[in-house]
Amino acid sequence: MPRLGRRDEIDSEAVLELLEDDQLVSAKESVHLGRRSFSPAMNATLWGLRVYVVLMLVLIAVEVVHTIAGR
Amino acid sequence: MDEAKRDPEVQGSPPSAPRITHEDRDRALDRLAVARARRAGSLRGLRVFWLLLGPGILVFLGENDAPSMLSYAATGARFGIGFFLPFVLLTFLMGFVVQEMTMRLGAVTHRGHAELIFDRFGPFWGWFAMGDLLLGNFLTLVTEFIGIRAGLGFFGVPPLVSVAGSVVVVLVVATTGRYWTWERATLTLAAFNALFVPAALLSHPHWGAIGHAFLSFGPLPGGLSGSMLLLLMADIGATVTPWMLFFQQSSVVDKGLTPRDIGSGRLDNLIGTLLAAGFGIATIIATSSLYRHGVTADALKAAQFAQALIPFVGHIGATLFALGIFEAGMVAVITISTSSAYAFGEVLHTGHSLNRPPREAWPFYAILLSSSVFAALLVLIPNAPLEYIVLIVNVIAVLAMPPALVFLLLLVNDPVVMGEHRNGIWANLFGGGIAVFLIAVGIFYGITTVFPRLIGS
Repeated sequence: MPRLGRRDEIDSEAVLELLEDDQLVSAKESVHLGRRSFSPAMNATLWGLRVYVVLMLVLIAVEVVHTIAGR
Repeated sequence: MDEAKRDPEVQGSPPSAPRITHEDRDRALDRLAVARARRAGSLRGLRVFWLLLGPGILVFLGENDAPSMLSYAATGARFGIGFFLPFVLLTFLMGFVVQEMTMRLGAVTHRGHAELIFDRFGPFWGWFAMGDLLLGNFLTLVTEFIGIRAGLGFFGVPPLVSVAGSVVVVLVVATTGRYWTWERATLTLAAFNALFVPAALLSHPHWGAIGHAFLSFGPLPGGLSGSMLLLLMADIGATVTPWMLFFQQSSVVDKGLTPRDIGSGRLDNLIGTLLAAGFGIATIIATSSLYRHGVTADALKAAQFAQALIPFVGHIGATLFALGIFEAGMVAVITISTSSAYAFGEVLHTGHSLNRPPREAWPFYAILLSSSVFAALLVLIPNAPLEYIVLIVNVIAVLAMPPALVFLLLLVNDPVVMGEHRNGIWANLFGGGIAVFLIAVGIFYGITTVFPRLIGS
């Protein structure tokens, strides 16, 4: 099986050679992808899904309370 | 860039020298091993795959967790071999489609899921996604400790010892300061998920009935009912959940996978899918012996499955089953708490890598450990309604999945994020179809909860 190297076997130059530019921690800290905007339809979809999740969680909570109370 | 050319043994220095961290150095070592393996002679493909496998197998075996295996156990005990065998296989195929997109997203962007959501969609939607993740993760962690306590309880281990011991295991595995060590240790633990296979074989399954089930999606004793619907949702929640997205994407990034590794990543996911599906189906087959012998399984809880199985699979089979439940919980505690820590680290812009030593990324390790500790403490509270948490945790996962899937689909279709690696039409059709299916199942569950007389009890 291939062996992994030791940390002292690799210097900074080698790190830069082996990793893609945007794999470096410093690159990820300094470069951020821009914010994208949503169309009204996508906004409505996201809000609809949010309402769906909240409603279903309330339903589950009611169901659990009902079941526990009925024990 | 060609990795062979980036091997320091082959090529010289780069033009500039940005800050290099401990994390970068460890990740580069992993990539060096991959580059060397790619240049090796015979068995090259196997060597490369051995180095690149991990996140896919781990995410699927991690999702074969205590509540999932208990859902499968309840399924087999209540419905026997029939509709649910091919259904579980289908749910895993859904899982494969979703996790393939996740793996690709991580390999292309080198950024975690939470980080991408916050970057592209802003903190408003980002915190909603985090809320779903953290609620689901915490409840799931509680159920993992229930599984650990139940599995070891079969052997007479006191709850405090089993729960505290598991937290220590999480601490030891997580703080090695090296992603590679963490991954291989967790994979080794996850291999014990296979214990459900000999347990199934010891139940002397009827192979003809298994073959018939896969070909006919039947029988389904009792037809559509409330309890059947709950188990159906739980079995779906046992294969597609939000934590899997956050975990796999972050671990792909931590492992250092690149677009060149996408093929190996797919194979990793496929193997994970098939292994997890096989072990889940084995669990259903093992407990179907209870159904065959008319044992009422409705009131069975975690450890009681192993106990109830003794007359049908013997002490060895029951022991394997109990150990499997313990393993399922243990591996999931490690992976789920790690997914919470990754997500928090990405959002708070603190160190979030298993390649960082604890002194460099203490908030990351503090979240990883504290999420386990709080869940463990809840399990130790006397008379806590733990059985309800087990029942609903997979259901909550199904309900929280559609918004997570929509974010995933938006990201993998985003040309700014994915470039040439963005989704094709088939991936979108399958991904969109899965989202619609999950919403429909959730709404159906909601309607039958409000109007239970619409279907049987």
